[in-house]
Amino acid sequence: MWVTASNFDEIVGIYVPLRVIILITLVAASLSGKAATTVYQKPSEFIRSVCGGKIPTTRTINLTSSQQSRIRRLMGHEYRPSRVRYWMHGSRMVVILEEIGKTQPITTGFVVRGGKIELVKMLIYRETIGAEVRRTSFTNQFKGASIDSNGKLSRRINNIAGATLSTRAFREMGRLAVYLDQIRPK
Amino acid sequence: MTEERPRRKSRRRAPRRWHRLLGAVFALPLLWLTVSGLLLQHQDTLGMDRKTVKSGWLLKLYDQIPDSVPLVTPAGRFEVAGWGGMLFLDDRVLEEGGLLVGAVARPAELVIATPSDLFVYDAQGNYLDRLGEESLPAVPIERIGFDESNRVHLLSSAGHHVLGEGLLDYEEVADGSAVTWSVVEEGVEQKEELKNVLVGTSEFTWARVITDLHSGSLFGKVGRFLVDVTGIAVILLTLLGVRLLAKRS
Repeated sequence: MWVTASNFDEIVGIYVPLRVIILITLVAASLSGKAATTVYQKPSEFIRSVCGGKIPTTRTINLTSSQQSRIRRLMGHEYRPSRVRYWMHGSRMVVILEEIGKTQPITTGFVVRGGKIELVKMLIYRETIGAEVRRTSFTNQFKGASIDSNGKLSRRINNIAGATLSTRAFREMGRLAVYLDQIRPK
Repeated sequence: MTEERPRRKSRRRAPRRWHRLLGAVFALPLLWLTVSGLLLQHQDTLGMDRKTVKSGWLLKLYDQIPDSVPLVTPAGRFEVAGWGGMLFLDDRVLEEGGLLVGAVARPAELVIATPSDLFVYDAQGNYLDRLGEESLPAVPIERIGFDESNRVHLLSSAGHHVLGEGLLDYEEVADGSAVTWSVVEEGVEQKEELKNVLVGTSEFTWARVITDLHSGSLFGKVGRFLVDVTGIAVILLTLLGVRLLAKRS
């Protein structure tokens, strides 16, 4: 229908409720709340769940400057802590890592055995969007992954649309977890 | 028939009146949107994505400078402060955050306690380690202190515990042991100093401010609502303008 002087009021008559709907939608969008921290599993519960119901003795890796620079190459940026805590259950190493997704850290639990990732679980998510990375369809891609001489994960990790930064953070943590297993005191 | 004429005339003129009224009312918001849009379009050329905001009131508007009184505690040669969820070590803002519970200095380490974490720094104040709830007897931590052997003591809902030498384990302590607990006090005098630290280390760029000015977010919900209404006003002005044009032709 073309807008002419004669039918304009009719068209505006249709537009009025639409205008109200748009206004309400925009106001609702403006008033929508901020994302909150979601704890999917406490780190202590994760450690217990993969270590036979109790938290083993805490061990640490004191990172040397050469290890720090290797980690910088693996992650593509500085890694702040110079001491990393981990737990052993048999030959499995359990480590809790944090990496920034977009603006907030994602807390993730890793289980590594023999230089290969055995289990990945997202524990705490603080970003607004991208929490899809906690799905097992995504985290299962890391199973069996190790790192090659170039520092790349041996398995291809497919992106999740809309969660690119969280996916990248997981890849970085995956590389770090495997590297920590390589350098931990045996 | 004669009574109908003025009413018809008035109805015919209604769109023009509305067009004029909307134009007058929304002229200023439209100008604001146009100017901020132009600035955004050329933010690279103007260097707005590099220039940081050094204005105290603007940073306060962004909740970058808290209203509350900071909490401070001495720890060895350091002064540790907590303000609005941020932690300060002397004149440095730490990347770690939380409500300051206390801090203790050991011979080669500084331990800062928040209700959920312990942050460990070396003697130069470099970040070493974090003890989360998986490494602590219980959270929230209520108090932190040290004994004559420089061992770290914690008070929580689970009771009184002492951490092992490398902060790797802990054991329960019977009451009555001599512990110097960290005391956190209000730092009214330090407030201005900490404010200057925040202004000096601000990473807020003008690009962010102009973006928020353009979207109205700078003035909160009211600002965003005003931008929404202005957008609707532009649609109405266009429709009314087309109608007036159609009528004239």
